[in-house]
Amino acid sequence: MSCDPSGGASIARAGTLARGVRTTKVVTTSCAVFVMAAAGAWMAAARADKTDAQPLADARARLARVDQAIQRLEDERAIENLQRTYGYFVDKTMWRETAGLFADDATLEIGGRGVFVGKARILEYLTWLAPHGLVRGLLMNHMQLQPIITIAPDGNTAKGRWRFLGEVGVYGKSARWGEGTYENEYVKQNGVWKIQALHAYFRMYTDYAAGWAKSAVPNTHPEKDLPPDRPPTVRYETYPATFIPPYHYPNPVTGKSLAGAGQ
Amino acid sequence: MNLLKACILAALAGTVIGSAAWVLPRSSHASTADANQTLSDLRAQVARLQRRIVRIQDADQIENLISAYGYYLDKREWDELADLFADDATMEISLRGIYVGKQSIRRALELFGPLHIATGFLHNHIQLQPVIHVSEDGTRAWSRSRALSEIGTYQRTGIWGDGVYVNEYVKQNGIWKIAKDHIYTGFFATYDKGWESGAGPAPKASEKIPPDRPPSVLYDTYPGEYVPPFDYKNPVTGADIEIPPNLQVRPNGGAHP
Repeated sequence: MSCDPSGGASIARAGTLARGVRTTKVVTTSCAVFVMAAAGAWMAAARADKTDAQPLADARARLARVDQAIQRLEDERAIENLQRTYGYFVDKTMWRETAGLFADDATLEIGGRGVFVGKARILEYLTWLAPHGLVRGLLMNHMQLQPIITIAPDGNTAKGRWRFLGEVGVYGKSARWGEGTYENEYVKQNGVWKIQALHAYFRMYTDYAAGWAKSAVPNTHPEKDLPPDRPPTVRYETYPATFIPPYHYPNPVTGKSLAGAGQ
Repeated sequence: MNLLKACILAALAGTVIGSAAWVLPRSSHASTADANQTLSDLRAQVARLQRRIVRIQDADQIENLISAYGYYLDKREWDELADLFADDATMEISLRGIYVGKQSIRRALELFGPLHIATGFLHNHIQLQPVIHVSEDGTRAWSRSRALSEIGTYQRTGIWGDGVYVNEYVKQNGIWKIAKDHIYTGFFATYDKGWESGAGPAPKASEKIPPDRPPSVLYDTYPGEYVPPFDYKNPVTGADIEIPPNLQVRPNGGAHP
């Protein structure tokens, strides 16, 4: 037999037809009260479950968004530390440490010498540039400046535009200013950011004494004794010619893309 | 009678189910425990997120501290500059030796010219390329950064300067301060000859305002070759950063150079 509200009502109706109506009424009333109490409790519990669960899910979703936002900031800082550390290594021609900053299948393209693929080739290129470990009288300062870092929505890759200001030379023989733009790519592997593609576009190399009013060193080109794995991705000339390295990001205010503006 | 029986049974059943209403709060004790668990999980999650945000803010504040240091140095605002240091901080600039404590540091700043920049003097120290690491507990931090310096006296001298800072910071009462300021000079070179042939030696200990301790390490500035030590590991390989032995700074035997 059921004691749900409708059952109780039918019992109450039936009770009015019986003798001992008062008793029956008391019983049915108490039955109804209990049923209502039970139902009320169930409903209250159900309602509580429903109202608690929704804000909880909201809070969790919001925390996940906050977590991701924090992660992006951490990523950005990690990439800044990475690229700046690259600069400190290059300053001192610490090539083994420099190559260690790249992903295994990374590429490197500096000036016009073409693309070098993979850590081993990157190390080969760098060692060709200057011996591993600074020697007396060699200056290789490459200040890493003015970063714009863009993390991909999935958080696994990133791009960065930077510039370098170089003070380079061989003491007693030559001194140059160097200046250029990087458009680099980074990849996160096992939680660690690495350089995936380093592309330095030279803007200007100039003899220190003559300065950029009188001296402009032409761009570099693929070398016979160090042929690249791939030809340069883009051909351009340095100052006084103009070339605008493509921007990996849209105008931050208008959102308009400028990719390819320099081509 | 049957009906009465039925009603009594109904009442009993009602009692059973009614008592379920009493049990419910009990089973909602269980769900209260669940809710408490959920709440404490959420609280722990929020605490972890907060800690990570604070670490980012820490690094940001240290960046500002480095920049502020540079702006005061530019203008020879020695009182302001000295106030960026912790009471027991040390300052070691070039090969001038170590100054210990805020007062000593304040005195030593006069080595770089009198208080406040005066007409005809240029003392720019552009602060660049900071690599910042904050300790897990957020009470200490370390930086590697550099200065590009334009120093001079109008109509007399113009000097380019290059140096790398390997610094340490401490957070006291919620405020980051410089605990250790150590700049390794890369070069000083005259504007006329530049780094082609105008390099001068690194300054050594002053007799007028002698340091509290001799330089911690010795090295040869350009055209000499050396690498200021790294206080962090290679960020990708995680291994110690290997400086070729001939490029390492030399521990100072305790003597002034």
